[in-house]
Amino acid sequence: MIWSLLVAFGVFFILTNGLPPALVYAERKLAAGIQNRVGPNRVGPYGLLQPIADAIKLLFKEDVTPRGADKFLFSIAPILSFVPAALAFAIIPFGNYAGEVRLQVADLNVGILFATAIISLGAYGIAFGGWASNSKFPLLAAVRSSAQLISYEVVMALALVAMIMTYGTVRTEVMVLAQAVPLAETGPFAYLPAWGVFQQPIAFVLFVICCFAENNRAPFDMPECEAELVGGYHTEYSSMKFALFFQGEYIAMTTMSALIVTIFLGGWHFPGMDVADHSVGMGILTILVFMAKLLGVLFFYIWVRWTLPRFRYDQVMRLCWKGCIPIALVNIAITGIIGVLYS
Amino acid sequence: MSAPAKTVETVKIKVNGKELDAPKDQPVLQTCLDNGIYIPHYCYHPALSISGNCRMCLCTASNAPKAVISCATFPAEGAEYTTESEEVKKLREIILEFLLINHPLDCPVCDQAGECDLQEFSFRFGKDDSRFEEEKNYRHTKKLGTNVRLYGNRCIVCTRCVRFCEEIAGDAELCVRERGDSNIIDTFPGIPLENPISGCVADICPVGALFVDDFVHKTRVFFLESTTSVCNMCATGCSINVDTWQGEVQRLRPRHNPDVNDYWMCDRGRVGYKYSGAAERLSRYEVGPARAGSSAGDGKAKAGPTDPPRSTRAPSDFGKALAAVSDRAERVRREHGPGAFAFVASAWMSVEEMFLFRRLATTLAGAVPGEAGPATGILAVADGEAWTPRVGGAFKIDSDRNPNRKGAEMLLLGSFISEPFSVLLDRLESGAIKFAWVVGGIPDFSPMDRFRDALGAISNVVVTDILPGPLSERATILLPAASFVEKDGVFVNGRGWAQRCRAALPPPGETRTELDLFQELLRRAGERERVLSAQGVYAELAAEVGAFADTSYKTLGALGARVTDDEPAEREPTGREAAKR
Amino acid sequence: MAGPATTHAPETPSQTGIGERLFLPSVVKGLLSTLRHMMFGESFTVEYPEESVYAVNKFPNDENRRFRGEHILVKDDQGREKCVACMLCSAACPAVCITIVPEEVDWEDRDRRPKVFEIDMLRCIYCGFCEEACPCDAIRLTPAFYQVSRTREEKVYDKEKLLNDDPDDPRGKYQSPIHPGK
Ligand code: SF4
Ligand code: SF4
Ligand code: SF4
Ligand code: FES
Repeated sequence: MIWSLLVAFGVFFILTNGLPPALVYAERKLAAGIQNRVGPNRVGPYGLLQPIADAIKLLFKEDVTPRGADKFLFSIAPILSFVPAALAFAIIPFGNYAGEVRLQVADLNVGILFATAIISLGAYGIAFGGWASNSKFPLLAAVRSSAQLISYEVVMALALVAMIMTYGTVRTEVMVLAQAVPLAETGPFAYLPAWGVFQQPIAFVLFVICCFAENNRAPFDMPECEAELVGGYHTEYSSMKFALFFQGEYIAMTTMSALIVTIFLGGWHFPGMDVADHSVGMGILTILVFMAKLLGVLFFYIWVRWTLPRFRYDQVMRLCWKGCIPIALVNIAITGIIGVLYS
Repeated sequence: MSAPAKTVETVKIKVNGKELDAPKDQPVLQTCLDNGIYIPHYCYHPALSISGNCRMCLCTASNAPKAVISCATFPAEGAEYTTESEEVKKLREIILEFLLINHPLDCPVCDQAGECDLQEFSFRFGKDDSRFEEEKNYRHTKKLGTNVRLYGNRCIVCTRCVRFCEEIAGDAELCVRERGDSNIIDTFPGIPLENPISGCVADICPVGALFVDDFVHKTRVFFLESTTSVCNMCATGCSINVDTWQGEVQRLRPRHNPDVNDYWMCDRGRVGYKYSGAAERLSRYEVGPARAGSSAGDGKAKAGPTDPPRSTRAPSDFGKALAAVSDRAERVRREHGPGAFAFVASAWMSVEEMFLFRRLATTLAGAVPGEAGPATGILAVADGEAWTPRVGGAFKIDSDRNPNRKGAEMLLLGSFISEPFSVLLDRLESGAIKFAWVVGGIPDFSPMDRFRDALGAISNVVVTDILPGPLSERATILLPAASFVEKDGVFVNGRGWAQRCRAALPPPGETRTELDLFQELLRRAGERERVLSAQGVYAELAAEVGAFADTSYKTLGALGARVTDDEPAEREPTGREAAKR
Repeated sequence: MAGPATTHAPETPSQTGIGERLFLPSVVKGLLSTLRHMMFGESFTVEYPEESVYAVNKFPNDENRRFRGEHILVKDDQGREKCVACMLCSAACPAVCITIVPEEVDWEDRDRRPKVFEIDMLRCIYCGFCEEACPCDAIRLTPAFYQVSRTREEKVYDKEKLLNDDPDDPRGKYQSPIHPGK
């Protein structure tokens, strides 16, 4: 039992703390590829040690707290942006059983609701950071960020409502199992698994958009746009605090990707697998499948960032309130109607 | 101007639909130009006879079946002329295409580029391409005389230069040789272009075919900054433009002034700016100790040229030099009285400077009733040769080589200088003079030996000058001065015509103009409150000196005004008027 | 830009169609475009200390010739400067860094050349106006960009330095041919 817990936490730890540096490296390399450049290639073979060099640099930088800053909030903000993102990961089933061990940190019965609640807390990190910096650009970023997060959480919740209606549960583990069946009994769709993305394509698109917005990733990186806000909420941050913000962003990104994988992409399920096979080998295989899907979504994140320019702020808001929310509502209605018709 | 208003017979014509009163004996082209209707032209020049060979000035007339050249068309009552129409535009394009057939693409190396009529008209009226595919012909490049060189390839054979030499200068050195497209300007064999105003052919040449040697390959005209001024090389006082670039005078150009020089200036005046840029220009204030133990006898004994005394002066600055001047003057006045002073002005000073110098003399020397005043005199260069063109309008080369002798006569003679120069010399040599102030400012000036030697024996000699020479060598206090391209002032020419000279450049080094210098000394002596500009000083002068009353810098304008009445105001006939007679 | 003034296409009214409004089709197009670069694009980076810009040419048509670095004065086929000291370059130069003093020569084809031709590389802003102004193709900007010197005076290039035609020199090798890629 103990070692099974250790395995679960080990994977959890790797996903939350080991992945960000790798992601930074991947992001820089991919960006370079997209822009016909070389990217980091000086530290270590292919520049692989670059993230470590960066981390060392950040650690040894002077930790500056601006004069007039609210010291307590200023210090707690990076932690607030880091911890919730990592916490939300707890409900993600990153594999099926490996022997006796359920490959999930906590199978809560509120499942997905816990995730949304915790992720919303991340907004406090940015809001506090911006407020506490006692500087106009971070404050603007904080205001922007709060407005943006509140708006997109609505869409996110509405998209999730459709999914909850579809799966009839909020427990993530059950959601994954619900996707591990063929989409249809017969016909051409019989070869497709019943993944969320195939059942609810509209909700999928909406949810992905929300993930970008929630993570403040391009094209929604309003709170940290370099051009207008000179870096936004972390303008005044340096050293380890900045690193925490940085890491928080990547963990949030990972968590969001994991949520997408779990809800829409069948989690650890792959077509043709035997869900009832609880052997260790199969457990490891599901972990790998989950990882592959996760990396795919992360790649998509990066890819989008280096493709799309930033929206204007009014466009961000319009897209949310006049675009996504009506569509999400209609989607719920359709889901309801179909559900009633089939039952 | 002062030309008597002749009643001109006019006829009514219409140009481009606009009613004009056209003088009967004036070509339509000139009438149009006078009324702000521009017609491009090359061979027409208001001072020259009409030749009508370039065809650039074509326009259409209601009383002619074909287009006419406006430079040789005299207005007919009620006729209508059109200078802006599709037809005229087309004609101009054709003419320019012809003119450019043999014209080389020399603009990058041509010194006319930037003020070239061919360039400008091609740009404004020409076609943008040429259909000429054959070889361009080649015509000679040569020096026509000491001053003028010809780039035959660029000539459009407008014959302005030929007509100038014949009608204005009168020596007719130039001619057109060969026929057809080999037409080329040349001198008659054995008669180089050597008249004293030969440089003017370069001014009137509308293209870059003729140049004054001095300006060839010097700079580009579009860099030049022009200042209107007066030539300082003789008492004619030609109106000129001083063209400068990068703190140096690049050339002088005559400026049209019907009462002074018409369109012309002489070759001597044209390079008369050279000394102003000389490397050896005086530019440092220097003060030395007073010369000790001199007597009249020594001065007389040293006849003939003597070696210049070894300079004992040390570098100083404006303030210290001025202080030295007033201190020594003060001491001399206390010890010896006003009779121990000598003030020598120069006919190269502007009237403002003379005015101030006169006042300064009284201030420094003081006056004791009954005693002799300071000795006074004026420096001037000897007369040269006068020269009158065949027909030059008001223009002639004066034998008097001093730019402002007339001004000196009006301001200094009688009131300030009451004794002939020989008296001054006697007094200088007598040993009684302890303080002499000599204003030079004359390039290449060699004073008579007596004067020079006498100066060498006087204990305090203040010299204001622009170039080192016999005067500055004998100075105990040396005050550098500004040359005519560096100062503002009014010069009165030999016929009493006052014109403004304007500063085109700052004086060299730390030099301040004499205007500043004199005024600052007066200010220190409590005679003046402020140091004024030349304009302010002129206003004072006009209030005090009768002849200048009612004139100001404003009324003088660019062309000047007459300030004496002792010459007839009759205007001499200019080029074509005379040619017609 | 020869010919009459270029006409601009009328601006497309933005976000009219439903596709535009949804952003998604354009987003997909953009994603495919970047993907193409990521997968097949070659890197244009010159890895500086190891590779030299002058030695490496990553562009098929010698486009790095377009880089505006230090100047050369071009020589004609007789090895004389092509420059006729018309001073148009110094008139065009917004940084006023070109000093020219013309002098007369008695050559067959032209009678003027610069006696002094100096460019103050420290003042130059590498705008290339001089190159554009020159009627004789006598001055060119080369890709040479090493701007290292120990004194300021060294960076005032005189005529001799500008006329460099050493084929091993980053500037000199651009004496000829005129435009390899054209
Ligand atoms: S040299 Fe000049 S002025 Fe004389 S004919 Fe030729 S273009 Fe005319
Ligand atoms: S590149 Fe521009 S700044 Fe440099 S010399 Fe040429 S014109 Fe002047
Ligand atoms: S523009 Fe060309 S020909 Fe003229 S001076 Fe400059 S480099 Fe020489
Ligand atoms: S100006 Fe009339 S023909 Fe030349």
